[in-house]
Amino acid sequence: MVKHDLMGISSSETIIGAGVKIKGDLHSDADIAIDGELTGDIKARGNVEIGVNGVINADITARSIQINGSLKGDILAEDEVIINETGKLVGNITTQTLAIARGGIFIGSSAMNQTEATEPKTSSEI
Amino acid sequence: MYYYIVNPAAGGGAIKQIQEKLQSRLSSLGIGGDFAKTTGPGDATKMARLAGEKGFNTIVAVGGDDTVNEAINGVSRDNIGLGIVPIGRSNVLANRLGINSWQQACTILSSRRLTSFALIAAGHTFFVSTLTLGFETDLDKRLEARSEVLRQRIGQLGQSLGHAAQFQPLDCNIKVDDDYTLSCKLFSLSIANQKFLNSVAANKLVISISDMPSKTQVTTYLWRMLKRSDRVEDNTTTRFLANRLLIQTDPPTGIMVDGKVAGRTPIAIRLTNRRIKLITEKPAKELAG
Repeated sequence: MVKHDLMGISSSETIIGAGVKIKGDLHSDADIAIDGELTGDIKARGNVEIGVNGVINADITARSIQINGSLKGDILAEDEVIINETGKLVGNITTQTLAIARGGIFIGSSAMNQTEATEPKTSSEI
Repeated sequence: MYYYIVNPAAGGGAIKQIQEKLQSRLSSLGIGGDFAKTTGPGDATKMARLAGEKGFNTIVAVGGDDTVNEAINGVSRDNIGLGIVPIGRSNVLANRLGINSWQQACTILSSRRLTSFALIAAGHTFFVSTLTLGFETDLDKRLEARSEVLRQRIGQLGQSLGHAAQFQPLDCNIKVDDDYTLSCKLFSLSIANQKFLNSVAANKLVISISDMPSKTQVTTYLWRMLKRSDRVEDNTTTRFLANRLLIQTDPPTGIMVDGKVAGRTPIAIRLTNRRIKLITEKPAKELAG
């Protein structure tokens, strides 16, 4: 579950709870926290956090992306991608920093933005 | 020159107790004007429209949320400022603008600080504050009136808890800005202008959805509702922004605008280009967005 103090968050944040299903493209000028299901694309100027209940079939573009649930799709993150212990990603990553916690699953390739190389560099499953 | 639309039935006839004091206070502040009393539903809309046509630039709704919303629907010119003297049973809209008593309202009216809000259209109704559907709306229809007396309020709480135990979440489908479709089971849904919740934010619909809460959450939720607190959205599990929505529910259900039944689902809701200038407590620069 995505943990948020709903009364304390910025008014422009998008929060999609568990049990909610979305079909289509989700855009936000700020952060997105999603604990439900989504099929489509996600574009956020802020950060994207996928909760443990999240089941996402989408390409995601955001500043940083944190995965606690399941994501199938390619991701482009300006700053960083974190796959936590309950997270699973099937897809390709382009970012500056990539962190995968023990138990986290990543099936795909990653390209690190701070180098000039654009070819996928690694392929791993943890 | 100010034009005062007085709802004599608001707050159980509260105006009778304060009429002389109110008029005296307004005169002493140099904002006396024409007073007109409503005689039934829809009057405040007609009176606001007529006042605008007569050239009044300040219209004041003396009543509760119903009176204010009716007046909003009658304001037709951009240069009209709409003020509120909250004497109704439900004054959520005034309270959100920082207006909590008739005495305070008089001072605020004399300052005439204007803040522009985009109107929201729900079907043919325009409003500026909050639309709800789901459990809260369903319950509201069952309770005759929310009580001021603690013992009666506790009785209503028991009645409401019984209703909550039987309430079946609604299957809801929302088309959002032609971008995506959201489906869920919902306990309650509310839509407000973001600018009402965050004075520095832009005009935008903010949609809050609560799924079925726990028994403890229901009790807290109901207690706040019966106290008419406007902070009843603590169980929100989903929140997003939009400009327009098409809401469908199964089964179809009633919607309420600031506590008054205003239609049924399916319903289209959109942020409009129409603006209403409300006389607010805070300086315009603090509310600008």
